[in-house]
Amino acid sequence: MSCISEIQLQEYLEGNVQSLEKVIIEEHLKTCSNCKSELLALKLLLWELNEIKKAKPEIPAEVSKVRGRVLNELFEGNQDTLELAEILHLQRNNFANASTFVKFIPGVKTGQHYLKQGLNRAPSAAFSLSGSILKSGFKMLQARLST
Amino acid sequence: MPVQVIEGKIIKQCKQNDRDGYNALFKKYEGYIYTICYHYTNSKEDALDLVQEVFIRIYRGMAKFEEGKPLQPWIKRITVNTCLNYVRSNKIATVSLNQSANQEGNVIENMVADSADVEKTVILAQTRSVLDETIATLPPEMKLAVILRHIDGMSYEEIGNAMSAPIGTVKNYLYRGRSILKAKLQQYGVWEV
Repeated sequence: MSCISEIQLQEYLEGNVQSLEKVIIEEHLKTCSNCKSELLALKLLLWELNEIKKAKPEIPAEVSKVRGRVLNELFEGNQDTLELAEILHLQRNNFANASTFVKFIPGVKTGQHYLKQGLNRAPSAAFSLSGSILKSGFKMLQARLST
Repeated sequence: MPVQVIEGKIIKQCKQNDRDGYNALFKKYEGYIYTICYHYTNSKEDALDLVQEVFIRIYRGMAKFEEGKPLQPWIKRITVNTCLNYVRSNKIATVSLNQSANQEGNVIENMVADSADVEKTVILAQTRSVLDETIATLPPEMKLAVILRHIDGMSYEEIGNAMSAPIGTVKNYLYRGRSILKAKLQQYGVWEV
């Protein structure tokens, strides 16, 4: 009789063989030391696996921390449910941060300051200056059109 | 209160996007999910990462879950899929595993013999840790099938359902997985057979 395949031995151990097949396998095992030691190795493997099953791993405290973190993320810090006001606030901050460098350009700050001062002191001067610029521009246009 | 009634209540709460509902659901199954993930990764940190991923997938999938159906098989399926999608941080190990999956026993043995690291750990290790290490090196599907069958005690049908695979395929994974485990344990000489 030829030796039993490993797949058959595994099925035998799992109790998945028909009664006739079972008898044949058991008869063969009585005489074949190779198959017997194969079966023993498989039995030991199943026994070892069963030992793992019995010794359940300790559930670490971190698991409940993970649960808390996930729940917080899902129900509080969800990016998709940001209020419009929060988005605008964020954007304003972004613009403010992005334009910080302007404050450090030499002359910008003092220039702005003097311009404001000048306008406050002589608003009429600025007004008449802009008016005269407009007038001269208008005249130039007229002259060009007439030629 | 019967288990089904409590579960139904929890599912209803979850469907209404209630935080307490999810808290109860996660709390109920976190031990189970962690155990599967721990055996699959053989690492506490990786298992915790996977638990987090499973929680998020449960939350995202809740809308599609049909009320009245048992919760456990669904959670098992999500856990199994999350494990199968998990990429080990140690990529070199993953490559060698995939190769071993397609080779015959002799070649696997040669490959194992080449791996100095494993050999070093084996010399001093107990059978249990050798077995843990060896399970960790199995290709993903075989590893899960072995864990679900022998550590979780699931039937072939349940495994097929969780892994979305026919029973024949499950049997094949189990046969090949056990075969590799046996060959490696014999090679390391942990049994005086």
